[in-house]
Amino acid sequence: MSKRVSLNRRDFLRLSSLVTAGVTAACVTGTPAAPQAVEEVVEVAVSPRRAEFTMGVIPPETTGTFYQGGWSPGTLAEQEQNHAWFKEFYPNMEFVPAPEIGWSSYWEQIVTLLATGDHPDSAMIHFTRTAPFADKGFMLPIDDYIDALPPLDWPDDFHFTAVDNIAYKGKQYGFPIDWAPRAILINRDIMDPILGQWPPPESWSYQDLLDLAIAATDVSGETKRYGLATGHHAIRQWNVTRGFGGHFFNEEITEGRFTEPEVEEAFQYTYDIMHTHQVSPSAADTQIFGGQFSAFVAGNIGMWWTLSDETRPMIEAVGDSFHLGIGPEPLGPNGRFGFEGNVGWFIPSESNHPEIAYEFMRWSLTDPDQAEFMSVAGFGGFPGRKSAGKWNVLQIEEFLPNYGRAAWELGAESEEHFPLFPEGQEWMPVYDQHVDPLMLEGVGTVKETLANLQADTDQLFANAVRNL
Amino acid sequence: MTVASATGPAPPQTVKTGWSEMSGLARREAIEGYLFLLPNFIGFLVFLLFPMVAAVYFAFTNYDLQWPPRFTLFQNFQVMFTSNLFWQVFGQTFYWAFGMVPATIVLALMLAMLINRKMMGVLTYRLIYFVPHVTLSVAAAIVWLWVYHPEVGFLNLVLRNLGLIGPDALLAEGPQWLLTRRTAMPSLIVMGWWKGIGFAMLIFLAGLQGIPVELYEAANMDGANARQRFFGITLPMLSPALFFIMVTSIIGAFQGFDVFYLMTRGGPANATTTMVLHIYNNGFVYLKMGYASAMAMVLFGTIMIFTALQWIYAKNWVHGFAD
Amino acid sequence: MMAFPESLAPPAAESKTGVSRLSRSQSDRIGNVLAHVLLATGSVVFAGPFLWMVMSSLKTQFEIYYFPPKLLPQTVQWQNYMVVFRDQPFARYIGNSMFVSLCVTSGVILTSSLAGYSFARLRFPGRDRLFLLYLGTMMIPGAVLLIPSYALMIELGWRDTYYALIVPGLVSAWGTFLMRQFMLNIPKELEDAAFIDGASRLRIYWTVILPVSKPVIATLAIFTFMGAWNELLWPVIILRTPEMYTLPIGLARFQSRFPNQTPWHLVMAASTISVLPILILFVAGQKYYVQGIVTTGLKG
Repeated sequence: MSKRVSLNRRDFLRLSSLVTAGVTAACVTGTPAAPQAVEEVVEVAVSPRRAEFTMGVIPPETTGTFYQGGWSPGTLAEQEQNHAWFKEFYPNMEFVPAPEIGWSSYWEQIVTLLATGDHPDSAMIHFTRTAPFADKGFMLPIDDYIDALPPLDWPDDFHFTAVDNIAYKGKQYGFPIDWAPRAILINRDIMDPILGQWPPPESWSYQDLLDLAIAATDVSGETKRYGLATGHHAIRQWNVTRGFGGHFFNEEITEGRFTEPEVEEAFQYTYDIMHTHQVSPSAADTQIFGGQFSAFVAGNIGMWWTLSDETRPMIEAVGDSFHLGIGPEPLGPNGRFGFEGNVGWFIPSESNHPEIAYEFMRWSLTDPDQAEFMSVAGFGGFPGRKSAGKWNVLQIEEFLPNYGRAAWELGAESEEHFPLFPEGQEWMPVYDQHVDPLMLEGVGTVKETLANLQADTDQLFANAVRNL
Repeated sequence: MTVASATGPAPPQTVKTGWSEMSGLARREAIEGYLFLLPNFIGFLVFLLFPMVAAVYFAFTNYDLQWPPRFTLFQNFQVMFTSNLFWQVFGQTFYWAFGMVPATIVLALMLAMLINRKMMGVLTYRLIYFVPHVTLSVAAAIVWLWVYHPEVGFLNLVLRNLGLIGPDALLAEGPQWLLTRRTAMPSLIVMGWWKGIGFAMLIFLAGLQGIPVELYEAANMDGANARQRFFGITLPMLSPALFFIMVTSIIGAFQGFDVFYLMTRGGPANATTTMVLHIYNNGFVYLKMGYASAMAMVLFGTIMIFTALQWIYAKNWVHGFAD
Repeated sequence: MMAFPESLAPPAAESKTGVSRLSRSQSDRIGNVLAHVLLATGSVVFAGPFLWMVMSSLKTQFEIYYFPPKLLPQTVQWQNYMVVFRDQPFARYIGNSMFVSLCVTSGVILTSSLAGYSFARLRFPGRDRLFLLYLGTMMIPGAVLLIPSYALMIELGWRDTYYALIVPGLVSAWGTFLMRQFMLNIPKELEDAAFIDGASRLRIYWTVILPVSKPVIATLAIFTFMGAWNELLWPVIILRTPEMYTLPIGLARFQSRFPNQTPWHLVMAASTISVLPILILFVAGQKYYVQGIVTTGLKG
């Protein structure tokens, strides 16, 4: 955002709040400024670690506050690590993580800060916001910083999908925190007799999965038993569509491609699971409580096609009530596609300390030691660094012996992520409007649904205004 | 018996006359009236006027959080009124509001009458019925999601045990509650009752306590029965509270958000997306704050019409209103 | 002066089943039994989720996922509450929240009762139109006011101060409306008597109107307090200094960015702690509900 633009905003605010601020000033005597403690500046010795972790352009004695936004503070251990990093490299800076909060409040908070020009120094991003934030100039590209001080083993030891999910139109805007491929959690009490082998074949196909699900489904009893729980939300369905070789959009994302035969095949496949064969409960798969998680824990479901980071809580929740197993994302005719999304850090364009933000982000998200720490003591999923995932695998394989192979190694075969475009979030309700009735209620046909979705998608794109 | 004339404020006087025609006493009363409003008024002027003016301004611009916004006159409204989703959402907001408000009021009134008696445990009951209002909404959502779960949920379990679900029963399959367009909104409305009744009940209780005891004593002496006492005393004396609940409930219901956000995120097929969820989505998720503000103006107009209508008709039934 | 003797407490709604040939006490008793049955049945539905919240606060992290859900914990985990206070300065948050909420509540009671009295009992030109305008401020969803409100706070230099949390909250259209409605019912005679004695308007407000408005003030207090106590979004945007955090922020900080990593047992324990003051306030306010209005000279 240019200087001129930001001045305009200030002018507007001044002008329009003249009246209001004037009245207030009359009522309230003296507005207190935030406490500005004058602290003694600590001298910093130059150590070899400084060359390893900083670009050397910001003097280590720098004072000030580093304000970081996000929608959860991470674990206490993680927080201590962050404070320790600042203590080592910028001991006179005060590191202030935002009072991080829930998902919805975070988007209200960060959008308010970005809109009023009161940007945090670094902030958390979800891949769904990469395109809109970049398009509006809210994010600083970090390519120059990467050239100056690249992360260790960059980019080979990083999951391309997770990294590229925080890049837009050829520019990198941040580093990923996590990387979550999909997998299939299996109730082995139900599935072992049907599978006839363990572990499940690595090359099982969509059709194999459906056949197994049909065999495992038993709706005659008091409580129905379902073979395969899955959902139909847009990104999941996009994965299946890529598996069949279809695309949702054209290359520039200006038109839908929903009427192509591969797309139709993919939707038909999910429709068959839901309605033709009725092997899946229709409970919304995205909810932790009340969704398929609970139905699976209750023991009524043979296989649950879900995100691999559900594994750890599932191990705890299932306990001894049945024998839990895991299988890889199945192969479609076009290959294996099971990457859903991730979160990361970015630097807001009006950050006061962009260099420090980069150095801090580089350390906390790409440093091998830190990645190991995060993989074990942090959120407990796979970090963006490929090799560091083994620490997570080691932990979970105690309970699920083939977890590493099924989720981590085969999961990495998925090399694409859902297309990023500024209207991505606005398009979701368009998708739901047409696909929910088909998949949840069995109303309409696949062909009609896709034709309507195509029309509304094209209309949305026709009216879209993009800056980049 | 005529309660209104017995205890109501003095009969109406004409206040439409100008300052010059007012008596000294009336003029003094008017000045006092303004002075009593002053603290409140300053607060609104300082902290609400500017944001509201800004919101109105944004409604006529393409404000997408990039500065400066560009005036687009009525374009936001034009887009809105030709959007199918907007009309669907607009209708659903009415569905929610009118599913929520009348039933909540009737149930809360019945509850307040039931609780407002001399017997043991009244305090406990008040507390219990107030508790949904203070339960953490996330915790409440978790429980209600389980209640409505089609496979392992409490509600379908009960229906199955009652023999209402089964091959030969009323329902062949357990209803999918939150997952079909037809049943999602009613399910949320029931949850809304659960959350809203305690609040309205408290207001009614406060209103019931404000009714002078002597009125009942006089009525008893006249030999009035329970029905006559209710319609002759309780209801008229409760009418200001009832009016308050009606107006604020309508305002609140038209702005419902939490339940939808936590339970369904507006699904399935946007069937539980209401105006404020749509406004929130447009403003903070799609970053179309100008369009969101325009919708907020339409919502404002809608609620204002309902409030004004209630206001006009209130003169016929609300005790002490026509002053 | 305000409290009624027990025997005079309002009989309120008599049972609708009261049959004339039964004696008064008999019909009362039948009505009470019926009321108990109805109320107790409803209680299960109404208190269920709350009970579940409290019980979950005494479970281990993953017990909450068990299906079918169990109300009672396998082993009661009292230490969850210790962990809440150990992991975050919760006592400090409670103090901060208490300060902010009490300031807001007392301010709202004052401004709302003043304005409510004016709207209910005084006559001045443009009164009703002004009142509708007041109500109008409740009709714009907060979502579109958030950004300009925050911009205003920056201009005032109120970022990271309690001024921003308290001062804009000191006025309430909702509270004004509530006070107005209840003051409509106060018998005019009460005021007139004082007026004849030569009392000023402010004095009448203070010595006549406020004392008889205790039930509604108690109601206003509890809802205002609750609103300020539970406010999350605004403090999150305003506050930077961790020592200034309010309770809902502390509560929200237990939730992980990965939903299934959230320590729900701690979230529930923290929620239970945060609900307690409201329940205490509610119970403490009960005594005001059993008061009526003195209506001298109205008998007959």
